[in-house]
Amino acid sequence: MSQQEIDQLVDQDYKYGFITDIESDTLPPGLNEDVIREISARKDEPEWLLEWRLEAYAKWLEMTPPDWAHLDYPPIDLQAISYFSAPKKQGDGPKSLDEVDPALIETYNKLGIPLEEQKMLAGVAVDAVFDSVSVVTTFKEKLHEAGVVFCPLSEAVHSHPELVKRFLGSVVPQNDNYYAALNSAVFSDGSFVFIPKGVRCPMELSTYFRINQQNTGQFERTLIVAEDNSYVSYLEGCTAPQRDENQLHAAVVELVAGADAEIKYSTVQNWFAGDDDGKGGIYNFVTKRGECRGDRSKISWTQLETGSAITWKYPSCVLKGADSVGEFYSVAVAGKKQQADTGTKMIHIGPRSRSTIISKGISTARGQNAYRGLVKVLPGAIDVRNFTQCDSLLIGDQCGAHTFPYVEAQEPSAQLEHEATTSKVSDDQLFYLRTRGMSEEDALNMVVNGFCKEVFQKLPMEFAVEAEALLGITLEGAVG
Amino acid sequence: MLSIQNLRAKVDNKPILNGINLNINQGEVHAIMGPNGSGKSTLASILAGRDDYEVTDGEVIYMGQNLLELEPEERAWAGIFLSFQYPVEIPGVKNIYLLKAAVNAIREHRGVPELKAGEFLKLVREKLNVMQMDEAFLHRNVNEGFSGGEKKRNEILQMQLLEPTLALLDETDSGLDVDALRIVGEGINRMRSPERSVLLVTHYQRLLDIVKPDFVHVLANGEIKLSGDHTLAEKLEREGYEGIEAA
Amino acid sequence: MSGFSAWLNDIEGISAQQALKAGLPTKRVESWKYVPTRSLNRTGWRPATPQATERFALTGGRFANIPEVSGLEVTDEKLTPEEKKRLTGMSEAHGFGLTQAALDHSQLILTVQETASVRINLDHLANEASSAGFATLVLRLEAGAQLTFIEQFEATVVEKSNLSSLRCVITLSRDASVKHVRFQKANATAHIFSNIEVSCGENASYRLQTIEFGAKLARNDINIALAGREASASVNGLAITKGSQYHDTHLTIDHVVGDTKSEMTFRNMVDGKGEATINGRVLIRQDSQRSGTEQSIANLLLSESARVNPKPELEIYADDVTASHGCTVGSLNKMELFYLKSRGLSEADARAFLQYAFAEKIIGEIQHQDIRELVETQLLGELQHGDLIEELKESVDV
Repeated sequence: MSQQEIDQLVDQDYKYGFITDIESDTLPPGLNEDVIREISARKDEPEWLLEWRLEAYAKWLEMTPPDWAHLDYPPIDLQAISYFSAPKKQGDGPKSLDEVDPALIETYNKLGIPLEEQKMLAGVAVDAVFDSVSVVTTFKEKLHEAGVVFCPLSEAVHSHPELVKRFLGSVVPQNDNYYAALNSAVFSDGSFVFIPKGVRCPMELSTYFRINQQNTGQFERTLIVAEDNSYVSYLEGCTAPQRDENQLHAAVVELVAGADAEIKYSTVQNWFAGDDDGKGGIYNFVTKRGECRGDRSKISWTQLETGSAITWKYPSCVLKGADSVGEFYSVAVAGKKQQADTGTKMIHIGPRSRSTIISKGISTARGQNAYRGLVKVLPGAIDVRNFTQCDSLLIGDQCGAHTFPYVEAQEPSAQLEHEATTSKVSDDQLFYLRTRGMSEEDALNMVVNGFCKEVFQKLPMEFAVEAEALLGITLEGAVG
Repeated sequence: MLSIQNLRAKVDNKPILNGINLNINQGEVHAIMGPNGSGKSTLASILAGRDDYEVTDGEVIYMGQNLLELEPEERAWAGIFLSFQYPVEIPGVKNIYLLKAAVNAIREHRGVPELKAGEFLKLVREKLNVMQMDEAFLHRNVNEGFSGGEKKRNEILQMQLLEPTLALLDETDSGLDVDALRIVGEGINRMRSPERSVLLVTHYQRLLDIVKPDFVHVLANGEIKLSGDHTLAEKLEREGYEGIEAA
Repeated sequence: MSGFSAWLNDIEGISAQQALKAGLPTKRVESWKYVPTRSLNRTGWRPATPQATERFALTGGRFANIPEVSGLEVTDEKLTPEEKKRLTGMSEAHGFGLTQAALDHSQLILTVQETASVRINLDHLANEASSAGFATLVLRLEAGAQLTFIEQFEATVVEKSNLSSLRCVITLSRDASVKHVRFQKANATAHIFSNIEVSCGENASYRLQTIEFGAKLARNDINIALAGREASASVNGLAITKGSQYHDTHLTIDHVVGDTKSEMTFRNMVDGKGEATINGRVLIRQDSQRSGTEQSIANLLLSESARVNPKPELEIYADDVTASHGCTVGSLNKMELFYLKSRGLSEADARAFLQYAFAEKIIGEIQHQDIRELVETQLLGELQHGDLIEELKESVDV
């Protein structure tokens, strides 16, 4: 270790140690085997999981960051990141909403988020009057009755080790890609969901999640297993902009659906996009994949991506079962100087498997939005159907919209259709609405919402409403 | 000529025909009427050999042969002709190629010599005249960009050329204006003969005013609920299908 | 020939095979992802020697019988910096370009003079085992000039594995137009590489029709820059890929300025163990307002082992544009087959009809009757049971 590096470390320790007493909760920046051992030890993980992390780390060392996406960003210094930070305790955040950035509060109000929830989102220490615990308890009891397991992954490692061991990394292998490998080595926490055979999850796992699953860290890892003939709908993220100091996010989500099972996974992503020049925004490199392992299983991804400076994300379906179904519905908005490269992969292995892809890209300001998708039909996957529609909307002349649909067909009975259009918001439509008394901004909003309708309809009801509002906020200032 | 016994069929596991019994003798014109979704078009399609339907029971004997065992082209060679409810567009294939290929394929299987180019053109022109169609139709792609009426006329033109023994006309009157209806109807009448039978599938009575059927059958919920002569069609036109469906 | 000795000097004793191998991109290069380079690596390539011919031809990497037509001038001068730049850009796009540049046998520059109208036919001749020929053709069109450029690759009696590469740089001045037709029906042992680099000035138009039936491996890199207002480009292509053939077309249309239009229609018909790749990319730059582009790619798979990799790409940085693409993959339409069969056509004839119809959409657009008829006749030879249609055409087409 050079003198300079030692100085740096000393400096870091000093800095953290001096300000608060949380130095014991945060590891110094840098990544090596010892750091991974430390993460695992602090989470009190079993030996096999440590081995698994170390294996992933060894693989990651051999890999290079992907460079094929339509994205432009400086190299990320992964040694400058701290890989363990215990969840914030009450008292770390602002003491009341008065201390929170007024712009954030204004946004919360526009989204119609209840006051108590605002506090949680903003990281305000919740006072004793707001009894969130009892709400959570009610949910937990209900789920328990149904036999559903829903808990942090770190907890599941202890409570359901055999399930975690069996399914972790079974959809997204450790060395799937550079960021997935990194996540496998250092993942912080995330959700674990298990729906037993024949059970229909009694509630959207979203509601509970929104109140309870903050601060899962920058290397989130989620695993959802739906056994034969079960159903679950899961909503990830939060419609309100979140405070987050971590610049790099590399999450992994794995879904496993058994025969006749259905998993509906919805995401609303609105992390900090950076300023108008893209400074300070989140880099979001996510690997999401679901496997339809049984006959007639179904996995459906719905996403609204409005945040992050960089989005690199391709929620995919591996359709192994006969007659299995994969769906991808996406709205991605790139404004400011945001860059999004997002889409899906539909891998058809099972006979008569079907997939639908609806992607709506909106670019404003200096945003760059790319759809990248793959539809692959393997030999033997007879009578496969795919329909893909990618539409791009351009608002302003400094932005870009790009479409890169890959098709690899190796089976003659496949019937695949792809359509794409790129256009600007129609002046005629805007004019028509304005002659009916709407402001230019409202008119734009209405047109864009119409453009996204097909996708919003796929979101759980309550979030569809918020999604529309969120889109409106994102588009503010896009005209005039 | 045609004997249908207890014909049952499904599509996507949904029963469409629930035991059809029907006999058609040489020279007879039968009309099958019924509300939407009653299975009329399914019946015509099954008789022509479309394989989107699963026949679960029953048999169809056509001129002594088990019809259901034959490929669509073998049925055509045996004299069955289906006028499609929605004639298929085939971009890139000229109408005249199809007409000539079809005429000669059927002649070959009937053991009559193929038509020479000159003979064929003479025959086609004669039939075009009957159907009041312009010769330009021959050089357009099969049904591509045709209006609804043009497509139906093209179907009847094909029927005239192929001279079937049993013509299945599936909603041939739909999408036609009054003049086109008359031309198509007269085109069908011209084909009536003691050797040729016709099965007309229709929702409305109006084509039956021109092509008078010998028998009318009412199909509802995949079964023939009622049979009678052409006066039954007039009754239906006045009273609707409601009473029959409930029966 | 100076080109030939230059080749040898350039590569200083390295065999052609080694040079090729060094320059072949691997599957890790995105645009070469699907190319099966094995047969290229395996063959021991030697420099090609020209064959005797009486027509304007490219043979053994050299041009024979350069046409003497009024309005067409053989230019003996150097490449313009712009042409050089485009050739370099072509070379750098992927490693193979550099090999092509290094191995060039010869270079020909032809100029179509102002407002002249010229038709040239170029035959590609190759019938020498293990031979590799490389050449560059530069076509310059002065203002208002019109060129019909027809390239034909014909099959020879004896099948011999060979390789030919032509880099073609076409510059259209204002109001010029090019109708470019390529008909490739080389032996199923040939390896054919074509780079076509086009630049259109104001109100110039470039029309390409490319038909690929032959070759073991055919790779087209086509780059069209719409560099002047009101310029337009249209590309129309058909590839029939059978046996163990591989066909690959990578097309980029760059809307450099505004008020430009492009369209592309491509059809792949793949049978046997054939594999076809079509990558159609359209780039509309930030200031290229009021531009429009339309792409359509249709792929017909006829056998269990056929493979197709279509990819239409849109990269758009301007907002006042209309851009769309459509892409389909499938086998013969069941309803269409049923319709034809219900009219008495046998299964085989019905299939031939529909394949013919699929191809005819592209071939029927060829405006030059002699070429269109030639291609149609060859098409019927490619189809199983094409004889029925052939007979029909003879008997009822008047």
